[in-house]
Parts: sequence; structure tokens; C-alpha cells
Amino acid sequence: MKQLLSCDGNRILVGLKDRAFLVMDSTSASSIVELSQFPEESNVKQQQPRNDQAELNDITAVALASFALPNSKTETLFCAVARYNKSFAVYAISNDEFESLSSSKPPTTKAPSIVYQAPKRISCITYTMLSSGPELNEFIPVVITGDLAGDSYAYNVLEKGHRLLLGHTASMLTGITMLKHNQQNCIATADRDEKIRISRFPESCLIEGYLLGHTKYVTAIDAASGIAENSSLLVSCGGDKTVRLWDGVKLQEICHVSTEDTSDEIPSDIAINASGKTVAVIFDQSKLLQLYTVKRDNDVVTLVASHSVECPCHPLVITYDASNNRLLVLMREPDCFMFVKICQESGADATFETVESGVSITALRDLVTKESILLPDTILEKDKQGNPVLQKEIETRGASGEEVPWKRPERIAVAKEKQRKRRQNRREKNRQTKPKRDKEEQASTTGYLTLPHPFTPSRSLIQKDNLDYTNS
Amino acid sequence: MSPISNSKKRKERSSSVDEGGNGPSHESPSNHANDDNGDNNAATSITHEGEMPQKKFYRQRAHCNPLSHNDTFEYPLRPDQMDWSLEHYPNNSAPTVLDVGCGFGGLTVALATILPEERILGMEIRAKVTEYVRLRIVALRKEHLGQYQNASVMRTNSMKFLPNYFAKHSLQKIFFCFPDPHFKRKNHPRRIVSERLLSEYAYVLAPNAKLYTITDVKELHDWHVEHCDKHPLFERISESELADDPCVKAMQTETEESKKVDRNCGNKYYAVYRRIQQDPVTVQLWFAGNFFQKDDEKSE
Repeated sequence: MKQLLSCDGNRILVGLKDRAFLVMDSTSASSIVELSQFPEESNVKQQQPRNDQAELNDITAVALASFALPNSKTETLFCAVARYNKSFAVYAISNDEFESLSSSKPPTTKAPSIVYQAPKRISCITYTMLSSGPELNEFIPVVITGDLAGDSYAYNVLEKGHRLLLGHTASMLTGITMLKHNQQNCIATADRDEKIRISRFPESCLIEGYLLGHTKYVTAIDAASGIAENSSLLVSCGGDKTVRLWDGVKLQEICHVSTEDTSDEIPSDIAINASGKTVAVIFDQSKLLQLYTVKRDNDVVTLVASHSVECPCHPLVITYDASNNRLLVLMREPDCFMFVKICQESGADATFETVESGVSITALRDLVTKESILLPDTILEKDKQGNPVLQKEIETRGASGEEVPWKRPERIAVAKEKQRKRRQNRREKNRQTKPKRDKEEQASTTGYLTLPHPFTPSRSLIQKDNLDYTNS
Repeated sequence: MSPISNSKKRKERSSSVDEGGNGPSHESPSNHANDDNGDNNAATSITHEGEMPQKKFYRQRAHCNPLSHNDTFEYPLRPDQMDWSLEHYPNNSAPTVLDVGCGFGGLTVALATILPEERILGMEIRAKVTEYVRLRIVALRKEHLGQYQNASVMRTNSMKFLPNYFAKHSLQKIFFCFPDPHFKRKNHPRRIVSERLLSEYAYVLAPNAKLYTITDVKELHDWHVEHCDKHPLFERISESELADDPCVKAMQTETEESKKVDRNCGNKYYAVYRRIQQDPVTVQLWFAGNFFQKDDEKSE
């Protein structure tokens, strides 16, 4: 699972194969800054990655957020980039620095401020805020990651420090997002075992609930960011080819819709707009971008397929841009990038407008062509047979049905033979017990010495020891 | 000798003497007598329903990997979709006491008589051993009419599927008796009581419900105490409060593993924790200052 696109306002962070780029989107000019992999000290040691090393340096997840730090007036952009080789880098860029870096010729790259080495490969990242102290109104940004072992860690972006938040047992995390539940800040983590767990943040040991309903692995989740105080919505899609809408307050499923009517492929990514009325889904190996509308009809809520958009190239990742009310779609080359504007008039149905050209879109396309970057086929990892890795193996350990061991009477003879051999071995061991061994040693390993043993040959030493500590 | 009279003999012996082979003097005479008749049974299964099963046909290796992806289990989608009356309890009500890793079922059947108002469920990952416990409960139900209706067993992986079976705050007691210690450091994530799983146990346990652990390995006991103390939602119950709790005595004497520890003259260490009343104020609040570990500290 890869999370290759993230945006905050007019800034877009995109991960293309093994290179990360920060794009400032504006109508007049577009500027791009590359985020380099290595910190400044080791700049001299940078080599061109070999082919197999390029795989290791591939980006698995990116996230972007802007915070105004407590001591400064301007906003700083925090970019988090996680790679295949378990390294996880945080970059802090202020607006002025961005301007100067992007306009310099030749273009310079920005080095990471902190590089962490995560215990397992990270598959999803999100940002949230942590209060600086009780009664204080200041917050610091914190990165929350989900990895392939099922663990979620929180990383500090200002100085080195991390914490284990929660763990899904032996089940990789496929999606992570922040949610509001009863005015509490919560983390929603989705895993391969069809569960979506809602835990409080920062007291992540407190589980608010589980959203259970998917019958196969969950591929992506998203939360609506702009709903009213007393409600929250979460939407998810999974390997069972359904899209489900969840109520974040009651922690229940509101409705679901099967995506098999529109596409045979597995839905791989999902996005919901801020008001929670439109849901966009893209599919694995398919050019379709399907939009659903949430219809409320006298307390009955349903998801209805409203528009389909045929993308020029296979879409890989989709994300929602709240400040411009549009969807960003990352596609394969050569087109690479696309916006879908959501125009919502009150009362009427939403209309959608695809934007396939623009300053930043062209800039990214040129970059991809010039640097010959090859985007991956699919963000769902596949094994050699072409099945998604997330699918659970079907083989059962052992027999089932009529062949279960307790239904086969021929085992009676086998079990008796084994018991006979076991007893024989024990007798041998008792007979061969050396008399020089400690009393405690004898007592702890062979409990049989506490009973008089009729078959032991008359080794008077052993019998004498028996009598000493029989009833200790 | 017909199978029915065989089982009567075994049942008498099993209730008075420790199962697990004390010494050849007790069982060898009858074994020779059984040998000639065993293979003539045209039975479809080794133990008939209603017969007390013999352990020797249901032995299975004690250590297994609970994190393995090769095992498939049947589990319900949600707790409200689980029908407990099909195989477990006569009326469709969920269990309230859980024995995780129940083994051959000693504690499960003992608790059924000690706590007649609660429904006891034993969870075990090994198929043969689960079948043994199931047959044992069926035999006990048949022998003591009306009793043991509140005990049952299930084959499942409790580390992964607990939230699928139990709703929030629905259990009153959880027992972890002599769990697999997984000594190697790389296998520590397989331990059943860990930082991550304690949050799940806190979710399924009702406020003021109890979590019992007992083990004969001192290192594992220290691990249990360390992790439960560190977890904000559990607090330790002192010895004085446990004096009149019959479950503690049962945990120490009724499980098969505890009987084995007695035979080998080992020590048992136990700890009982209460799931605190969930109140936002009592859960410690985290802030930027105390939230993060420094990077050079290793997390477990």
C-alpha cells in the first residue's frame, strides 16, 4: 500500500518512485523543490542509486502539514517521507526558504532535518497535533505512522523522539487517519484483518471502538474533515469490493455500496470531501474514477453512484484538497496529474469538472518526462501470481472435516505405542540417574523419585535419597 | 470389554489421580487388558460423545506461533452476529468469563462450578486439545445433569479475533494461566500479555473487571507485572483483597499445568489486576514533554 500524494492548501507533496517533490500550486507560476534523501552532512557521499537500490529507496508514503510553531509567526511546512528501506525523513521548510530554493539555478534540493530508522517498513502516515502542556493552548505537530507489523508509532518533528501508540496483532496497517469522536481527537487505523480500530489520541491505549463490517482486507480509509461538531464520518473501501460509510460518533456502519456494479477491480484508494457529501474511489488497474453521493432521505442514508470519470491514464492515488474543494489524482505517466473540481451549489447535486491542464500539472509532467521517472503499476503490492499480497492465504493447517485426527480410530494403536515408548524412556532415565547429582536437581527434573518405584533396580543410594526428601 | 465400561474405569481414575501419567504402577495392568480389544472397535471416532476423552489421543505440541498467517479460523463479522446458542450455551447469551489458552480445560470446568452465574469460555488455538475439552465438557454435562451448562470451549486465536467476538466492556474476568513464555527476545511479540494487547483486553473488560495471570517462570511474571503496571488502564489488586476470591485458588490448583508444576516442585507466581473505572481524568494525560521516548531508548 502506498500513500504517494498529500496536500495542504496550495502545497502538494508527491512521491514519484524514489524522489519526493514539493509543488507550490498557483495560477501564475509553479515552483517545485525536490526533497533529497540524505541529510546535509552526507551530501558528498551521494551516489546514483543502482537499479536494485532504486527499489530500496522507493517512497512508500508521504504526508504534508503546515503549522505555525509557537515561537514564530510564519507557517512552516513539515514534510514526512517514508521509504522502502525503513528510513523515515522529516523536512521543515518555511515559505521564504521554499521561494529561494525553487528559484535558484541550478535547483537545489532540501535536506531532511531529522531522519529516523523505523523498525518496520511504513505504509501510511498522517499528521496531528499534540498539546504542549496542560492548560496551554499551544500545540506541536506530531507524525503518526502505520507500519507493516501492525504497529503505529508517533514521531516528533522538532527533535528526535518517538513512541509506540498501538498495535494490531500481526496484521499490517493499510490506512491511518484522524477522526473526531465526541469531541475527542482519535486515530482510526485500518488493517488487513478487516478491522478499523478507533483509539483515542494521545491516550492511544484507550480503544473507543472497532468498525467491523468488511469481509476482506481494508485498502484505504478517509475521514471527512469539516463536518459539524456532533458528527463525524469515515469512509472505507476494501478487498471485498465495497465502499462503506461509518458514523464516527456511534461507531457503526451507516451504509455500504458494492463497487462491483461499476468495476470488477478492487477499489484501491478513497477520498471524501470536507462536508461528507461526495466520495471518490479509484480502482486497481483501471482508468475509472467513480464518484458517489451521500443521499439523505428522511434518516435513511445511502451511497449512490453519481458520476464516473475516465482518466487519461491509470490513477494511482487520490486525495482531497480541502481549501480548494477539489480532488487531486496522481496517475501514471505521461499524464501524471489531474484535478477534479467539486462544485457544490446548495440544494442542487454536485457537479464535477476535471482539470487536466494547469501550471503545476504541466510542471510535474515536464519533470517526470525530463527525469524519466517510472511510476509504479499499482499501489497494491502483488505477488508473483498477480494476487494482492494483502489477501490472506487460504490453506488450512492440518486436516478438516472427516479427516480430523480424533475421528480416525487407527490412531488408537499409534497413541498407545507412543505412550508405551514414553513410559519406557522415563524408566530408562530414572534408572540411569547418577547418584552424584544434587538433591534439588533430582527433585526438580524427575518427579517420580517422590514415589517408591517398584521397577527400579536396587540402587540403594537412590532409595536412600528418596526417603530424605519425600515429604519436603 | 466394550468401550463403555472402558470409559467408566478411566473416568474413576481420572477424578482421583492426576492425569498425565504418574507412574507405570497405576496404569500398566489395565493397559495390557485394553490392548487386545482396542483395535476391534468399528467406531467412527476415538471417543464417543458423552465419553470422557483420554488425553493420550489428543496430545499436541505445546508451542505454536499465534502470529502465523497459515491458520484459518472461522470468526463472526461482529459480536452481535455471533450466535452463542449453536454450539456453546443453551440460551443465546455471551460469555462473561474468559480462559485464554485453556489447554486441557482444567480451569474452565472448575470455574463452571465456582461461578455458576457466569458463563465461562475457554479459548485454545490447538485443534486436538480443543476437541478434548469439548468432549470433556459434553461428558461432564451428561454425568452431572444440570451442571456445566455454563462452560464451553472454542478454537480461535485470541490475539487476533477478540474484538470480533466480544463487545465493548462485556467480560468480567480474563485468565491467563501459564502462558507460553517465548523466551527468545525476537519472540517477545508473541507473548499473550503485552503492551499492545493490554489495550484490547481493557476494551473487552468491563470497568472494575479483573485480569488474572499466573506463571511458573519468574521472568515472565516480572514481564506481566511490568507491563500491566505501565498500562494506564490497569491497577494491581493487593494480596489482602484477593484473600476471599475463589478464582485465585482455582487458578493455582485446578489447571493441568499447575498440577505439573506441583509434581516438579516449582514455584507459582500470580498477579491480579483490575481494569479501572474509565474516567478521562484518571487516564494520564500526555503532553509534548513526557510523550516521546528519546530515540536511544529501546521500546521493549
